[in-house]
Formats: sequence, C-alpha cells, structure tokens
Amino acid sequence: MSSAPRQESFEEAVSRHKKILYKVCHAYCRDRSAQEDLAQEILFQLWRSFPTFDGRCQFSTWMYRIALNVAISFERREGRRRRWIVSDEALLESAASAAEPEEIRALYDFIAGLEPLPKALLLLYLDGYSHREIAATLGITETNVATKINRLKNQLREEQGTWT
Amino acid sequence: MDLETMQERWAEQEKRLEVCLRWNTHLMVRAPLRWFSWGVGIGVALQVGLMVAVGRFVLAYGDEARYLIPALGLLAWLGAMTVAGVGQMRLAMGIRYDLPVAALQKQMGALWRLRMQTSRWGLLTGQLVWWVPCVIVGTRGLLGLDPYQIFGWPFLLLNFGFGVVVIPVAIRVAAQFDRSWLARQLAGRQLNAVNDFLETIATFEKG
Repeated sequence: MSSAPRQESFEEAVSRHKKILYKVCHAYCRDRSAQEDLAQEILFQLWRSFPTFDGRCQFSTWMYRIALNVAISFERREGRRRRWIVSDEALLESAASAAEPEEIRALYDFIAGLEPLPKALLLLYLDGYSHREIAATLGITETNVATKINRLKNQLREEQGTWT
Repeated sequence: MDLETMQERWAEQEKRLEVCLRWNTHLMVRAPLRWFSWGVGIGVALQVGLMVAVGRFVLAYGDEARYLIPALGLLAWLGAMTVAGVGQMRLAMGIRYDLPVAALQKQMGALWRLRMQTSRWGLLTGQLVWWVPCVIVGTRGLLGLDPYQIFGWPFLLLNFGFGVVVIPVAIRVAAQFDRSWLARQLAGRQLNAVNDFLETIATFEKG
C-alpha cells in the first residue's frame, strides 16, 4: 500500500477506536503530560505495526494489544524518570474530562492502583472482551483469566469501603 | 461497587466518550521516534573499528608480552561489548508490539536486562581497560614511543591495581546512594528491578 492511502486507512481505523487510546492512557497515567506522551508513543507503534495487521483478529483487539504493550513499557520506564512537561493542547481532547463523574474518576483511581498486567486485564474485561479474547491478547490461559477476574472481584469487595 | 457495576459505569463512560472525544490528528506528527537500535548500532560500529585498530597492533607487537597482554585485554573488552551490543540490536529489532502482552513484555525485559548488565559491567571494567592498557597501546601504536620508559613500570602497575580495587569499592559505595542513575546502576539496583519485573510477568503467566 502506498504511503497516502496507507495513512488514510490508518487514521480512519485508529480514529474509529480512539476511545481505546483514551482509556489506556488514562488508566496508565494520571497526569496529563504523561498521558499525552503515552498517546504519542502508542500511535507511533500502531503506525509502525500497521503494515503487519493481517485482519485475523478485530482491529480493536490488535490496537488494544499494542496500546497495552506500549503502556506497560511506558509505565515501567517513565515511572523511574517522570518528565513534567505541561502541554496546553492534547492529541485526544475530552470536553467532559474536566467534569468527569466522580464515580468514573474513582474507577480510574482504582485501576491506576493496580499492577500493570492486572490493569491490562481489567481494562479488557470492562470493555466486554470474552475470556478467550483476553487470554489471546495477554498471552495467558483462559483459566488464568477467570482466576484473575475472581481475584479482582475479591479485591474490589475488600476495598468496598472506599467505593460506597 | 462490584465488577459488574463497574462494567456498567464503564459502558456509560464509553457512550460519553463517543460524543465528547475530539481527535487532533495534526498533532500526530509529534510521535517520538526511538532510535534505540540506531544508537546501539553506531556504538557497535565504533567498537568494531577500534577492534580492527587494536587487532593490527596485536599483529605488529604480538611477540612482545608487555604490549600483547594489555592489547589483548583491550580487545577482549571491546569484543565483549560488541557481542552485547549486537545482542541488544537483535533483541530490539525482534520486538513486535502486536505480540501478546506477556510475550512482548518478556522480550522487553530481556532487552532491558541485557542493557543494564552491559552498562553496569561496561562501566565497572571499562575504567580498567580505558586507562593503563589504552595508554600503553596508544603510546606505542600511535606515537611509536615506549610507555614503560616514559611512565615506568611502577606507575603503570599501581594504576592498574588501583583500577582493580575500584570495582568492589565502587559497588559498595554506590550501594549507599540511591538518587543518581550511576549509583543505582553500579550497585546493581537497576538489574534487580529488571529481575523483579521478569518475575512479575512469570507469576502473572502462571496464575
């Protein structure tokens, strides 16, 4: 595929699933400049990997896999040397992000408190992916997915106090 | 809130995002390029160039142990760094972000570990070869002078011995400090962090 149509179909596909970018960035970084940096890195890796997308899985699943991989690596790396750059313009702007409902903010806070890999699992679960899809995306068994979801349920139950 | 309620809230958020998320595509060009393999590649090319130069020195002075030994030391260090550099390049080029998360993160961890090991031992042993052996090879190979006559055996041996002692001392001193990258690197804390990370992935995979 030549460069211009490739760019067009890439932008169209990513734009259709931009919510994934938003959710992953917000789950892995709580400050805006870090979210912006992460979004850029995810987009770069998506663009680089785009020619290898063969349609064997849904684009959203493929995009999620790349976004999570970049986010986990980003959190590991940037967690040690966080840069504090304030940007006044963002790649993904949510008009409602300032007025984010308290429950959603608390939800993101809970997600942010998880380790990078369980966080990835929870994001996929909340987005309604099946155990099989989650297992394929994360590279673990379906039984393992079920066990971990149960564990998260228990963890949530234990932290109930902070949620009610 | 249980996981099911959480899922409902999440779906509500999904609808909200559908309406309010704006896509600033003009900012996509700012995507940062990470030329890690290029950086390592340049380092490897430099090391190979130096190995050729030191190799020629070995051929020229191979019959004199006082020149051969430091030159071989230098060559061995350069060789080890080159092998490690090539290994990093190979790992970096094999990284594909569309792999399953656990598999990719293991690859990233392996690359990270090799980088940490290379820079740690490169720093600790580099100060040893980049001083006395380098002075000997450089003075003889580039200037054609006898370094043992200019500096004297005691000076060279003392400096080399000091370099050897510096290795364990640097590790111990670095262990007392946590703030600088160099101290964490020398003390092996970065390496421990990598091992912890790899262990986390292994545990996650096991369930």
